[in-house]
Amino acid sequence: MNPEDLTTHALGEPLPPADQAALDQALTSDAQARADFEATQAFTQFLQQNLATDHPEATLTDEQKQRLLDHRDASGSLARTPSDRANRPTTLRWLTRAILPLSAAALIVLGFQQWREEGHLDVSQLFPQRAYKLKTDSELNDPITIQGKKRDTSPPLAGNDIASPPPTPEQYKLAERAEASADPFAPSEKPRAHMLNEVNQASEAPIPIASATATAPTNEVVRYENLSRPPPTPLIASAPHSEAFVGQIQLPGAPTTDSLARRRELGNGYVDLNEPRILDRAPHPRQDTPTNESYTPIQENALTAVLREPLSTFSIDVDTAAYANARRFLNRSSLPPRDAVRIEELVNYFPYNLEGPALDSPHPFAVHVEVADCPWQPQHRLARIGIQGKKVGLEERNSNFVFLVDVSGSMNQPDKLPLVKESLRLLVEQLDEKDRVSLVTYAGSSGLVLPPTNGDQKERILAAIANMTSGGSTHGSAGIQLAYEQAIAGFIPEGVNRVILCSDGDFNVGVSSPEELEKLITEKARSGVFLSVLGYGTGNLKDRTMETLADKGNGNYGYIDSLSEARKVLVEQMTGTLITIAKDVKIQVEFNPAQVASYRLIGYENRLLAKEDFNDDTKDAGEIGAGHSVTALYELVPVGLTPPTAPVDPLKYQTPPAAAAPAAEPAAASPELLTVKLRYKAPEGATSQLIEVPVTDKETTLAAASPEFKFTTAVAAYGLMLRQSSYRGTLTWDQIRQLALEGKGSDPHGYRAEFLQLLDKARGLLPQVHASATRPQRTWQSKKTVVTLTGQSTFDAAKSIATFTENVRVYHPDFYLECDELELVIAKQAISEKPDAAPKAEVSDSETSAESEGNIEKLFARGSMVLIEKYQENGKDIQVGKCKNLTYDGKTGLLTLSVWPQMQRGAQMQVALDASTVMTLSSKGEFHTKGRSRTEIIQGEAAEPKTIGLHKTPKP
Amino acid sequence: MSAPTLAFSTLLDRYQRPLVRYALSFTPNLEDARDIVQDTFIKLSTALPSLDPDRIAPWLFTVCKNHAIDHHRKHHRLIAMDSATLELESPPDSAPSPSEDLEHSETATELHRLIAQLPERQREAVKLKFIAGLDYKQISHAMDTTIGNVGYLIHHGVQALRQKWTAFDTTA
Repeated sequence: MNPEDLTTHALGEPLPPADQAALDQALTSDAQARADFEATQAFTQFLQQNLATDHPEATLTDEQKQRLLDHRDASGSLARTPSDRANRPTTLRWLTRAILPLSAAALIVLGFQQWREEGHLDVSQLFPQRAYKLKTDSELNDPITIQGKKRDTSPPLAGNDIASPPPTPEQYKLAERAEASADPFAPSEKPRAHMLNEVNQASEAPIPIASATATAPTNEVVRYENLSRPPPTPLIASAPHSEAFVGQIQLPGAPTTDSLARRRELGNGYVDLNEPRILDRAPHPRQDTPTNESYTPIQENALTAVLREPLSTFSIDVDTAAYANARRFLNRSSLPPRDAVRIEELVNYFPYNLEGPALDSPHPFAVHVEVADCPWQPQHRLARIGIQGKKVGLEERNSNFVFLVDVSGSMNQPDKLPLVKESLRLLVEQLDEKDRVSLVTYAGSSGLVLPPTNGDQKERILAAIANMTSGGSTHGSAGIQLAYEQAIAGFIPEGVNRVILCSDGDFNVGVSSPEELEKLITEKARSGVFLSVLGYGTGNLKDRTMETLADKGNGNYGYIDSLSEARKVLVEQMTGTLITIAKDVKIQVEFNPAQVASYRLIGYENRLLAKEDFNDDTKDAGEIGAGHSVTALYELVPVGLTPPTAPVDPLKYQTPPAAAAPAAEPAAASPELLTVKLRYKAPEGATSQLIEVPVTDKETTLAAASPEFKFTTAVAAYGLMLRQSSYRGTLTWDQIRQLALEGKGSDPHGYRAEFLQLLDKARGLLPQVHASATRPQRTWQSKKTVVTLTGQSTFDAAKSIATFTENVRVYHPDFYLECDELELVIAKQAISEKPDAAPKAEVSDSETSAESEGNIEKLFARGSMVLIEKYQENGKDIQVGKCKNLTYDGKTGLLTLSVWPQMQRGAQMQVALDASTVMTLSSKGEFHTKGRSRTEIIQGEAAEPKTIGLHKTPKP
Repeated sequence: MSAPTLAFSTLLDRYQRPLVRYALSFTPNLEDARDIVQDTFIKLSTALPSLDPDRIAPWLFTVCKNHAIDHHRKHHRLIAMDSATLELESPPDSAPSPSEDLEHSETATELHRLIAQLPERQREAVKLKFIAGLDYKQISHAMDTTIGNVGYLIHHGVQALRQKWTAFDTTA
């Protein structure tokens, strides 16, 4: 008997009669075989049960099914009429084949030309082959790209076999894919759709695409016209295909045009655009929910002359989605579309270290204004308006928390239970004797770990938290009952009474149905005990269940993937979300024309208000939660400088100074630069309060500006770069990085450190800037090693060991290195150390530098991220690596990267999959990896490899 | 409705659930799985007239798999250097974000993990058998091998899984 036959038989598969007989024989005579068979059978049934059970959702949507059927009908009819196609005159067929590429080429040329004319010339000159791609990326969703996609729906391209069937959406799809994959900058369709959803949620009034186009900047409109102009060949104008092209300029939703009608008459070979397209991810996305695939275009605020418009009014915006959004793109190594970059949201993502209102202040927030040099226009000034909401700590609201923690076996992963413990610790540390904490765990059985305990008994609480261990399977329903009992036992009237459920999502409701559970939670919410849900880990998270639970429980749902996120959710947002301190917050700034010639509000493009709206209490505006900070930046052109905008001819029929005189005259004598006015309503109030803050420019230089100012400007500058804004002036990535470093401060949550990483990613994706700005001074090509740092440097002469801390950068002849701590073992020779010598232009005053003239024997670098750039002898090829520990052997020239190393050269990337993986790099550039790792080829350089393996279409 | 259309809709009804399930063994994201299956059916609609009715099932799962691999390539070729600021490292794999997660039971998740550790051919055969629900003959078409070889692959795959599962079950 073959052992396989056992399994085959257990699965009920037929066996050849001889084998079957042998098997039967064995099963009757051999107890071991029988036992094996039974075990196998039981196990295969178990497999079938667990692997072939359907999730109710694991199916196509009805919409998708219907479209497939519709599509089938459509393609069926196409397939049934192949003869039509064959009957068409051959000449026409050839013409059509020739024309399509021609017109495509003409369009590209036209588009490119136009694009260059619009002032993108710098980019295209620097990086011509990328220029077109950047454009398609940054304007992915504008009608040009829509057109580009539709181009693929037009008739077969030249090169198709004559007998090829009419193009199907499948071919269209493939073509689209090919296009997408050929463009390394194009974000994949999927995340785009996702992100768009987010953006839609974030923006309160998304502009439908049709109106967006209507309000699009003039130059874009011009571009459409250019594109829609028939390609300059008489042949083409008479061919149906050019019609198709022109027709495609029409946005969907614009009803049937002549060309479309004609196309439908032609029928064969065309995809009817009016028919719902099977390939659209969402049903009729461009018609029903037009913004689904589009960002609201942002027309950046222009420089405005103060004499013409002395007031600037906008509503505050505490959204931060754009930052996370851009981060997601960059983490996928693609650039976010320009319109996805809303600078105010980037700036407001970060908590700022500003003082809140004084205790006796009648207002719930403080307004801080700082003015210093503008980093991207050194002659301009930059005003930073920061609003800091009152921090309503939990101490002002007594809290009764019940932690309900899932300790089932699946929680036994570093990003689950240990992170839960850390998160709860963060929360407990904010509590005091007026607060109560209980702890309930659930797994195989649920248990009360800690009855309601006063918040001042921190040690007891923390010990209970620390002692939780995981094990067993999940039975949540008893746990949640118990948790609510505790919450009621410790109920604090008028306090925050909250059950906080921490789980990876396997929330087994046990005996009770989900409906019963929801009912319970709703009921308890009514009685004043709310439920907050914290999701942990990946791969097992029941997002929807948990969100529903939180919704029913009047609570919030947070997803915690790291300690910094825990801090954000549990320490900052907890109070911010619980307590709104003001609503309808509006800002109006009046500029003094004696000081300011013109101004430009950076960001807030879709939050602008008319100046009359400021005092109109019926006009809605943004809300601010406890502890929130909101920041706005104005770029100011001082009087006496010619603004870089084209001058406008003097008005013929009115005298502008006369119009502005009433506003200008009285203030002319004032030394004030501007006045910030702010209106808000109390959370339950209906009438607004006014705060006025006059600001005088103290002539602060950028170097002397506060760290918060520097960091804010770095974030705004990053936004300008990502947007490739025409206002980005003289910005370089190095400058931004420097500002961010100087403004990084203590960064307790690591948000700013992460920002620094994003900067690196962004500058890697905009290589033309990278090449010219970040590594220009190959001055260290001299045989000198320069180390710069902002912390301490010590030198142990006895051992010849030098140590350096904080923002350490090493400029070595062969490589460039950044780390947090550095140790150098130097061969015994003369060593000179020059604090504050600052030999390089890029070294700021606050840094010290050391020059070692001896040879480096060994180098040890450590840090949360050690960055290494190794140059090859040709001076061009660069290997870039990241890790947490790095050593360099001066004798052999060997670089060793350890603890999550990763290394990239050209298109190839090697990423460690294990902390213990080690990568080495020899002086000649030879590269070795030891341990688990993954190789990634960054797409774009080489054609994507074809599908491997088993794809063999069975023969008919 | 013409006859092929009828057949198409029958096939759609019959196979869409197993296909989505199967696609989900390649991607954790339901939306992606649906897209993959949708693409598979689009392809079917053009290829249907030329397909041997007996081999439609293997054909569907083969195409589905290829679409899934293409999809994976398209979406995972990019690098993320992250988490240096995260105090706790999560695996650098392309971990699905929570909203994209499907509601898997712990058992199924664990089984999928174990299946992923099988040698490629065994893994393929086991998936086609237990996730797609094909019989040996269909698997042999899909994998372009003999029925005997399918029996061999599945036997070894199942026994390996059984051992791993027992080991896992006793430790957990």
